[in-house]
Amino acid sequence: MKSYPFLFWAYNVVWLGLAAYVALLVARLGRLDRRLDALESELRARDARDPRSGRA
Amino acid sequence: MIPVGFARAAWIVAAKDLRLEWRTWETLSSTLVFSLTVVVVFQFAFGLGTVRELGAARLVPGVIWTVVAFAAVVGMLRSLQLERARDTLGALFLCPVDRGAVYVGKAFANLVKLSLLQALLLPLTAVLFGHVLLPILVPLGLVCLVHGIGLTELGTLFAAVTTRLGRGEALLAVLLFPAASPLLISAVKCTAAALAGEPLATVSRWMLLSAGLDALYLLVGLATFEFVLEE
Amino acid sequence: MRRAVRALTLPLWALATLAMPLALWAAFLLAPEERVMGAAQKIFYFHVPAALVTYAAVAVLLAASIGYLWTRDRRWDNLSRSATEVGLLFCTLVLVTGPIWARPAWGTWWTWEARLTTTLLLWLLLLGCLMVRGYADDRDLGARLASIVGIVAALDIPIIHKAVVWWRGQHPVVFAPDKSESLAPGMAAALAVCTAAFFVLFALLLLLRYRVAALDERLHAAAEAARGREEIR
Repeated sequence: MKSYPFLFWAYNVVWLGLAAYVALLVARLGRLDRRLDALESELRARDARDPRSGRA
Repeated sequence: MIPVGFARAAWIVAAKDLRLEWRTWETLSSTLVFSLTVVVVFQFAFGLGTVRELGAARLVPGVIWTVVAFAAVVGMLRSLQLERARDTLGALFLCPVDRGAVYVGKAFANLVKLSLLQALLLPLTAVLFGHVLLPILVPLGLVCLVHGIGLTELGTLFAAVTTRLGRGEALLAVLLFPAASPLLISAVKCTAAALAGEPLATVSRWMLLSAGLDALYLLVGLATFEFVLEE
Repeated sequence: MRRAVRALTLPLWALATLAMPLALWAAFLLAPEERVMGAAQKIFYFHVPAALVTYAAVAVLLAASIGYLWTRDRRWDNLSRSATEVGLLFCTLVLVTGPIWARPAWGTWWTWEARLTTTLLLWLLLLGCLMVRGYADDRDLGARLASIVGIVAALDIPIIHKAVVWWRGQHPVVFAPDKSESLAPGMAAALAVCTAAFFVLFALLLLLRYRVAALDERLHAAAEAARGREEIR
């Protein structure tokens, strides 16, 4: 039937839109995780150098 | 320190803005010239043939309110940017008055300026587009007032938000126009009715909607303006 | 609170994984094919639930905005931010699937039909909310201002809808089958299944976005604290 292409594209738009957003979120989570790791290691290194730093 | 009541505080703020305008005519002159320019652009955009064919009654309401909407964005933003330039926004926040009074004062001043603009714009469109003005002055004036109130209420709130962000007309337009769309739709409908010589009773539901919106936007503005001013 | 949020993620994800094939089954196999519009009518089974989810997102946005202004608890702002983004996503889906359905149904990509016009205005309002957040340098300021814009936007939506319906005049140009002509039972069931699936998806995306926002904030706070300790030294 002639309207199948429209159906096909509509559903694809929905899938791809949702998938793109999930990919975006996953990428952000990864970036945040890396920053957290970097921050933690930096704090560890700093504390190792200067153990006198007052822990809050 | 004498505690200042709500109405008095609002009046002081409004009077300050209006006095500034009276001395410089800055807002009115720039918005009027801007409006005139946009009206001319419309004439070119539609072309003489289209304008003649459609007639003033169908064309002018849309033109007027488009022009007013854009001029309102320019004018209302300016009134708040002045505060930002002189760093008085913070001072306004420190004032021991109800922040809502500051909001009402600013919105009222904006309303007066907008109404002045409309008062000058309508004769202009009457001449340029050839529609009647004097016989319909009262209904037209009422339409402009009721819708102008809502537009300035929303506009003042969003202009304050835009100014706090350090942004300009583009953001204010993006925020204001969708939010004010019911008002603008109603304004065009009511103006069209007035221009066609119909009594306002025929568009009573639009007028009532707008009056209701005026009340709603006032409440929202009163409730939230202090959060905009907060440091 | 954090543990509760984290604990919900996997079950929701599992539910969504089950729900979406179920939705596809409902739309393609359960629902009968419509006589006039044929296959393209089935877009309806994703278009309408997406619209319903958008309205739900706006409701969450309203509640979270008021919550933030009331309590100044950042968690409300994280929820508000998430609802804005997810709402904008589903609103975009509505605006894209709508024209794709309109084209075979009415021969034109866009009509200024009441619901579609309202959705377009809603899309602009949600975008405005995000822009306000984006332009703010200070998180607190951005949260406050976005809450205000969010409240106005949410309260405006029913009014915009009413105004646009009046503006359109009396034509009963309805996108979805009118209430007066009842849906065939297969269609109604399919719509219900798809709506439920979409709401599960909505909950999942909202939760994930919230977690990202919360994590972002913790990171920000930790970085600030680390900087503070460095300065004290």
